[in-house]
Amino acid sequence: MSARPAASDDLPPGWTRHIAPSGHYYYYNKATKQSSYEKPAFSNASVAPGESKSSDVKPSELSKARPDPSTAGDAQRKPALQQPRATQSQDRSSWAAAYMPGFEQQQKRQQRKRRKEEPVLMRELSLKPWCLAVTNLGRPFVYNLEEKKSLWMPPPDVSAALELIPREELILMIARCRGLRNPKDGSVHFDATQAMVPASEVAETKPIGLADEEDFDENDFVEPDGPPMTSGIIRQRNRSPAEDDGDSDSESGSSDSSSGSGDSDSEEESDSDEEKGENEAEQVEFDEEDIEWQIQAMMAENGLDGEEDIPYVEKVKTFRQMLMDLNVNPYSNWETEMNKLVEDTRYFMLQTASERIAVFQDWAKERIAELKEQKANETRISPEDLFSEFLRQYATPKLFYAEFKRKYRKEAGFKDSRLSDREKEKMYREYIDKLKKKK
Amino acid sequence: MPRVRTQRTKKPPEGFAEIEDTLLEFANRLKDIETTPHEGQRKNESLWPVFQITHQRSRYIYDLYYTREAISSQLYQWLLKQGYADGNLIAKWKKQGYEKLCCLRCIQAKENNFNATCICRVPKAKLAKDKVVECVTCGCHGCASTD
Repeated sequence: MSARPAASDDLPPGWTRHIAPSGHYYYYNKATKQSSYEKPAFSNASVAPGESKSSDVKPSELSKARPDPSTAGDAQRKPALQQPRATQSQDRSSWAAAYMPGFEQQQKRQQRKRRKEEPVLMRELSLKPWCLAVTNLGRPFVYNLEEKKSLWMPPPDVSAALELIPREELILMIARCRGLRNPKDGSVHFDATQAMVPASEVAETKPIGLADEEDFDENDFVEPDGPPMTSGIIRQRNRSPAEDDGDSDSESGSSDSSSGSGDSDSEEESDSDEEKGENEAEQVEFDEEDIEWQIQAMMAENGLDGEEDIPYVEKVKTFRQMLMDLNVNPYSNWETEMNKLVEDTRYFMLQTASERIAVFQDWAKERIAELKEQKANETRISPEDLFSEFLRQYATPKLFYAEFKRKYRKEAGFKDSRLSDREKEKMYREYIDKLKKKK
Repeated sequence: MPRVRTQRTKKPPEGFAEIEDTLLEFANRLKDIETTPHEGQRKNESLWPVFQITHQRSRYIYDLYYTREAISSQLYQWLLKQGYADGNLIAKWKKQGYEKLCCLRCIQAKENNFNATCICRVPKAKLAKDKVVECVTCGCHGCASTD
């Protein structure tokens, strides 16, 4: 939370006042790690456990306002399907851990990067008390102004109203929520954008969806108009399966209802592009890719400038530079080497996993050719020469070969695998004979 | 499964040292799979990771030889002979339409109920929209070359 500690003159000791991203004041006690929207009273300095719960407004408020994902999901899903899907997503993390080297580290990294989800833009619908709002992760939901109720899954009459919104406008709205920068150009072409209201003006929309993830700190808070690159792999990971199902259902449901079937078709196709051993991270990336693609397509349609106009060749160049800088092993496989790269921002120069793999393969091919050439140019010392050099250092007439071997078998010079044991013994004997003759 | 290397076995051709670490990692992952519990999984499910890792390893060696041109044909033949990669599967990958094939059993039409190939061979475009495919044999989510 973007916290600004304020003067705590009228607060009990230990409490400080901060401003939440929504603009509300909230109060935080550093000692007991409690936070509350309500101003803490002076009288109960030592807060009883029951008391602390009731004063902790956030979670309770959340559970009220947050649409119940399981019920929302059930509306669309057949009950028979529910069971296998739930177990599947449960198993997935353990699965991925088995398939993917370094999966757990990746998971930790993503937990760290995870960002708070909150509504950014709102737009009134033709059906009166209802609004369409979009979160900073680009997920749309509907909000009832009168009942102050928000739902991931729009009721049937509302989804009919949603269908009236032009698709371009919806895409633009999502894009802006996710951090598209030039909204001015957009508003020229879509005069309906004036209807969009920053959601922070409507106070009660705030507690939505994943607002219960409070484990991020000030550094993790990303401004809503940050570059879309940073909002890459931030989507939730550790949610319960039921919640996961509900959300994905509502996502697909709302996109179906609002933007027609063409949208979800394209999702389907590019999704299948992924490798069969795909993990969740790739799915999450795909969301980002898809929206990026939508924005680009929209830009092309309207003749607007994309916000990043780096030619593809340049992107590939930077990506390759990163491969060189981070000491990637060209002989290794992509799944292993990927773990070295994901934290670098240049990793996101290329947007799809298949592009990255293709560039990696090309780079590896060239790099290996280079390395081979280097090796060929180096003056080669034959293994015999190496071993006779070793003998000159260590061999004495006092030892038989067996004893010599036992003594020095762990030395690098002895271990050289290109000579067989028999050859080594022969060389050793000849050398010892020579030594004896000299004496 | 690669053969166990002892003192008496033939020495690997040159270039093996560069890829040895990666192959070792694959072997370790296979060992890890052996020890992970599979309670609550279906009978087939416990084998899927094994299929997947061996597929990945075969793919890795295939890539090294055909795409990256990193290993000599001698070494490639040796790797196949030692069982680091499945030669029969690689042979299929060279055929048009089988570029992403997951495993050989999935194209054995006679083993299936309707004498047809496995569900994972069906292109995504021809399946129902939200259908999650998980093939029984190897857990493949879809390996049609058009996907």
